[in-house]
Amino acid sequence: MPDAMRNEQAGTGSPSVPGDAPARPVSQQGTPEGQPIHAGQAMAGQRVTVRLAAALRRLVDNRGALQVELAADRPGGVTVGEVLAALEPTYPGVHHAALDERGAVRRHVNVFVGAENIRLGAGLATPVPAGAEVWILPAVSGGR
Amino acid sequence: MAATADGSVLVMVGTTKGAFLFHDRGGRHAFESSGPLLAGCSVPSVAFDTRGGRCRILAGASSFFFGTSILHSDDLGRTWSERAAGGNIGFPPDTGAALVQVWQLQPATEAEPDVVYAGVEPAALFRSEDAGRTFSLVRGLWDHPHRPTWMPGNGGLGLHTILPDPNDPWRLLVAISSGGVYRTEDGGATWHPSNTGIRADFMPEEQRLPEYGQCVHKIARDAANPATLYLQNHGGLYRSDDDGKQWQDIANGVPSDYGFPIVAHPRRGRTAYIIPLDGAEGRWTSGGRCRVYRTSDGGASWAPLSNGLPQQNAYLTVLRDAFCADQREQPGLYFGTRSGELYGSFDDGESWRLLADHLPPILCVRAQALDA
Repeated sequence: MPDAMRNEQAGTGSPSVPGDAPARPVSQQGTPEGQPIHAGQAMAGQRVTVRLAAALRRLVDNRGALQVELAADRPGGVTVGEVLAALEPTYPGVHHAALDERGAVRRHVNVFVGAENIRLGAGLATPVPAGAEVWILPAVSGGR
Repeated sequence: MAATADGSVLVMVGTTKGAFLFHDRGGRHAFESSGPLLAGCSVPSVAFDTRGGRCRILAGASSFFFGTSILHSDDLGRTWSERAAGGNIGFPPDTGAALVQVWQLQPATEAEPDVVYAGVEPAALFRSEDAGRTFSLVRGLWDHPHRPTWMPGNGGLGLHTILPDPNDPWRLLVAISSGGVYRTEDGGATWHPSNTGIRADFMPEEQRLPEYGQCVHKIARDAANPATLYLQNHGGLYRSDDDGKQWQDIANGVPSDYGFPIVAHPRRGRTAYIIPLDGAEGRWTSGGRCRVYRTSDGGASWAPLSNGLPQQNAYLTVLRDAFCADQREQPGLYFGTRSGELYGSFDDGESWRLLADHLPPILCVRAQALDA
């Protein structure tokens, strides 16, 4: 086997996310009803609901929403980039569908925080206020 | 896989909107279609892998929205690996690159039954050592000093052709549009341009035989002599008798030396097939006539084959991977068009049959003989 062909595994690392010290994910698992499963010691955190386009639901047992709970260690709470990054360990398929290997939102994917398309705002640095939902949706394009 | 006299043939057609399977139940008289498979994805690359006792279909599937993965099926396309686990091919973070699509999937030789290569856009080579489940970047080519100067063609900057040496796993040849042909003889650690004699008509007049940068469209390996290669260029038709070190023009008696695919007969030497297109502006079948050209003498002459193909007002385009042969003793030839027609010939191209039409634009066609 040519050793020169053996190279590092690609596509398995978490992309970096713009922003300050990332919020630490506490729990990314959810029940079919979307209730978070708290892992480890209870701590102050921000629970965020991530709603999925129908085309992505088959990647997560046909669930339409995922719950992510992150430690919000600083004023202003978490960013949408941190929410999406926190999906990667438990929902790698959803993470891969939304972000390319550079950590950028795919060209024909739109991410909303509430009613705000993050492309029109601060991108992945867009804050996610308490109670706001994050949507991952296909853009109005396609069909070539 | 050994050529089979009996059994059936499975033809997989990748399109801009999913893939379709055509399953011959014996005799290649009628093909039963199924699909669309991988709906919602363009499928520019398909490979059958019959090494090591498996019968696996690999497909490079690009969702318009949600990225690219290489999926596989071990039950003749009925079920496919799922993307729930995330992407199984992607650029390492330090490259700053992001995968666009998989242009080519190529199982290595029988000596390396779990190795599969993938050629991608942006132009790079990936290698799998677990039969296509996960892929890693081949750094030797990515780090080549020429790479930043390769220029994309109209279809993008893709590595679209991978030819393993059947006798030596350390030797591999790839082609890039537009970078040209590169060869490695040390298992991918170092790569060398291998374009001597190939034109680049789109360069200034004094620079039309450059060391690299040609827009090579496809290369095929001769069935009898592995050192002999046939090359369809973006303007130019070539043969090499020394595994790509030197190339000679063989555009003898063809209506155009422009085209995308070139297919070698899978069992008979000195025999290859092309589909000439009008040059860089039209890029449709020359003169509005759909003709396959066959050489049986290594390119010294080419004969038109048109029986059963449209000969009037036929402005068809056949892309570089949309033409192939199966492995039967009398090989079937198959090509698909951007206008969604699939043609087949079962008598060495002497006559052709429309196997399917009204498909989405066809990007690739691959055929596999199945044992009885």
